[in-house]
Amino acid sequence: MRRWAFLILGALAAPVLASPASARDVGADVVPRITIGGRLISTLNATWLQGDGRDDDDLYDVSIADTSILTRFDRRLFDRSVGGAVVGLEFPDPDADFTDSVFYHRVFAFLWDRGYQVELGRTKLRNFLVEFPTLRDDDLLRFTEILNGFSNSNTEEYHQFGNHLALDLFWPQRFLQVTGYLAQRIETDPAGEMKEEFDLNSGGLFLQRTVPGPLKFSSRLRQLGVGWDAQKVDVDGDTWKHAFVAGGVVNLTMDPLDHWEAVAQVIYDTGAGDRDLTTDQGRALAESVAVAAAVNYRHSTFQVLRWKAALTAAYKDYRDEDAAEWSVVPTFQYRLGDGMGLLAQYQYTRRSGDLATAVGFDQEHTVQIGLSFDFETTFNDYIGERQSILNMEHGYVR
Amino acid sequence: MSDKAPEGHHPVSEPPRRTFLKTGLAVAGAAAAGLATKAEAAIPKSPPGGETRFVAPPLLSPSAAPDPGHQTPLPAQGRTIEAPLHGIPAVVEPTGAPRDDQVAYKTFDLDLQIARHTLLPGVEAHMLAFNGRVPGPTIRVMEGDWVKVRFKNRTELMHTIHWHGMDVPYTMDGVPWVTQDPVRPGQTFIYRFQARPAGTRFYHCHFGTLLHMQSGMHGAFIIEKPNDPIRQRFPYTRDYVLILTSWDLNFIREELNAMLRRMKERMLLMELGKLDPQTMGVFRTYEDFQRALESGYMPPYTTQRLAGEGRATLNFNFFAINGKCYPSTENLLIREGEWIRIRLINAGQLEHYMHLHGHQFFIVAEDGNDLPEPIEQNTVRVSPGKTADIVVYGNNPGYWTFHDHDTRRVTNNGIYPGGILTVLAYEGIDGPYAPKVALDE
Repeated sequence: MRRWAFLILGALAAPVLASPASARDVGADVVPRITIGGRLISTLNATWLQGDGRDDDDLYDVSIADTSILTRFDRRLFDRSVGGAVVGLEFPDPDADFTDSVFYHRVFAFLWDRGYQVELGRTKLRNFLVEFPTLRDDDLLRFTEILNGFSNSNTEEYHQFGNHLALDLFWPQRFLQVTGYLAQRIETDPAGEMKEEFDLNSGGLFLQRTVPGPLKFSSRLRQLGVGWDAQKVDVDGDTWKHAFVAGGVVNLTMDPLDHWEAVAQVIYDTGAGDRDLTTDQGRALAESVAVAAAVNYRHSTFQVLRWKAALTAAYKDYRDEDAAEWSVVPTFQYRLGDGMGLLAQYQYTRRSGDLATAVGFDQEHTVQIGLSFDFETTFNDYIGERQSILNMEHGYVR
Repeated sequence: MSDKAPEGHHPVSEPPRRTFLKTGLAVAGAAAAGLATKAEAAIPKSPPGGETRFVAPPLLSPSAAPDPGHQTPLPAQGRTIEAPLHGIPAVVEPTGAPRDDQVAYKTFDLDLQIARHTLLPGVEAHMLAFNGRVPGPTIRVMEGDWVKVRFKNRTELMHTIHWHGMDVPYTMDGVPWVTQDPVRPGQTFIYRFQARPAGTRFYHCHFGTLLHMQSGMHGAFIIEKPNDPIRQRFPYTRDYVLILTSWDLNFIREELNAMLRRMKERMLLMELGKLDPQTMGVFRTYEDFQRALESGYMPPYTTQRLAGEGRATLNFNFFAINGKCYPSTENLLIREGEWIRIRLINAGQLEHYMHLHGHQFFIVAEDGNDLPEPIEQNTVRVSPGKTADIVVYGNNPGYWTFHDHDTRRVTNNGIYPGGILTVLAYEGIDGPYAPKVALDE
């Protein structure tokens, strides 16, 4: 795993880091735009598990999972498009199957111009349409993302991240986005260890209308889309697993100071055959329907966000089994200052039928209280962003 | 060297020793009497060619005499705001100047939109453009004319127009929150004033001045006077206007985006009736401001809301004459034996030291006001907000660079030559060497 990550990292970083030692091409010493961003999230967690002899199973820990740092380097190219690289690392969940504590979650090169964007390398896979307002992006992973049918690990990063070649096309009006990708999802052996080699094993197509962040108040409907993902799982005679996703985001109010929004998404996964829910891979390969919805409130004073609260609910039904689970997650974040937040979240999850039996407990309570610090700063910004207000509303400047 | 030049190295050696204004008046009086003074005899006349040709950013004609080529604002591109929000007056006509039926106004129309402006081939930027141009069109009137400017704001930002160096009624001075409320998106504000004093003046936005003025919101305002002593003393036949500017294109892009985002939200808050003074950052009194602080208000300068790198200092990377960077700047044309006048306006944030090769020139006015005596130099310093008028005599045929001698401003994105550089080119010469277009030295 580490060897694999370092190879990719090295290949991408070499042109940037090694250029001073190599023959200097014209423009080789033009400083790129450099963006550094990151988030440290640290929470005190308390978890209670209930069911089948697990009543006394209480867990307490301090988690820095999902803490990450990202760096982006990019330049204008000869034809005035933009190209660059992203390198990032993340601290995974403590129960992940890594032998070390750092995961290079984003290592990719990219190109973009007014009408397209290309990514090649490891990054977050297009497993979902909308993001939900939980503290960590994997708090409701089983409900909110298309799962990786090749992984028998409880490592959530194996579901979220992988290598891909993704092409996004933006229609002239630019709110319409078509995404196609070929992905190399991480494969493990039955014991959950990542395989030494595996191929491009999945692909997908997404279509959505999405309003960029700076124009979020330009219409009630912020996002609406559908997607299809196919994984060539080749297990027990079932070649393909398909997933279909639909979702969107709506501004419930057009008030920037007291803003309400609603988020919803449904994923139907065909699965691949009749699966045993006792393993991680079995649950990822089971036919299922997952629905998630959230209401998110953001309170600002003087156009500065001060606190936000959200209520997220999710339900998942395993169609061929007598199994289902649901979860309710209230979340609260209070900003102590720019980039510094006080966090609190409670998550209640209930499992029923075969799933409760397979997992060993039917109820789970998790309370998280903590702090987060996030930042993003850009140096030598001579490029701007493709979806800036000026570029979107006043003609694109290259 | 021209054989038509007067005796001595300098074409005019007498005027500096005399009171310039007195000389002008004397010349005028003598000319009127059909006599020639000694001083007049020493001043070379420009070759006959009719009236003075005014060479400046496109002239804005009064509405009473429409000239489609100059008068009509360029078609707006991109998103524009045509009417203000409900409850906000569409037109604001402040008091402080005579009514339309009391004096005869010359009326000019200025609108404002966001336009893509080409600085030079390969470099384009979004700018705030009066009538779709950067710089805005030139307004040229006679001293004492009554002027009415109908200013329509088609952007989502707020603006004013300040008449720099002009003695207007204070309600027309265009300073937001001091002399007027800013002109809201979609709103029209009507400025009325008498054009005085004569001289090289200019106009610019005074709202968010650091960003808006740099982003293109400036233009020349020339107030002429009859029997101009400068023209009588130096009978120039071409009258150039050069507006000098400095741009940090990255600051402009990021800050315009940030302000547009904030203003979109503020317009929603206006509609909801929730835009309070604290969100606007505008208080009725200083005591109100202090009370707000005590109740938890955080001034914007304490929360670092600057876009991009969050920097407070600018990194200027393009420099322009009349909105264009060398080699896209226009040559100044002159003929042998001709006087020309060059009006320099610094509408930027940096000092410029304009140096002319191969000639001595006379500085005849500063800040638009005639100097008591012309000053003979070959480099003139033009500070931010200042104007300087110089006259040049064509006595050395050839091609002569005229440029900022702070050569950091003779660059395009750090590459020399570029920026504030143009050429004084003699017409009709066939010299052994003609200028080329150089982009990288």
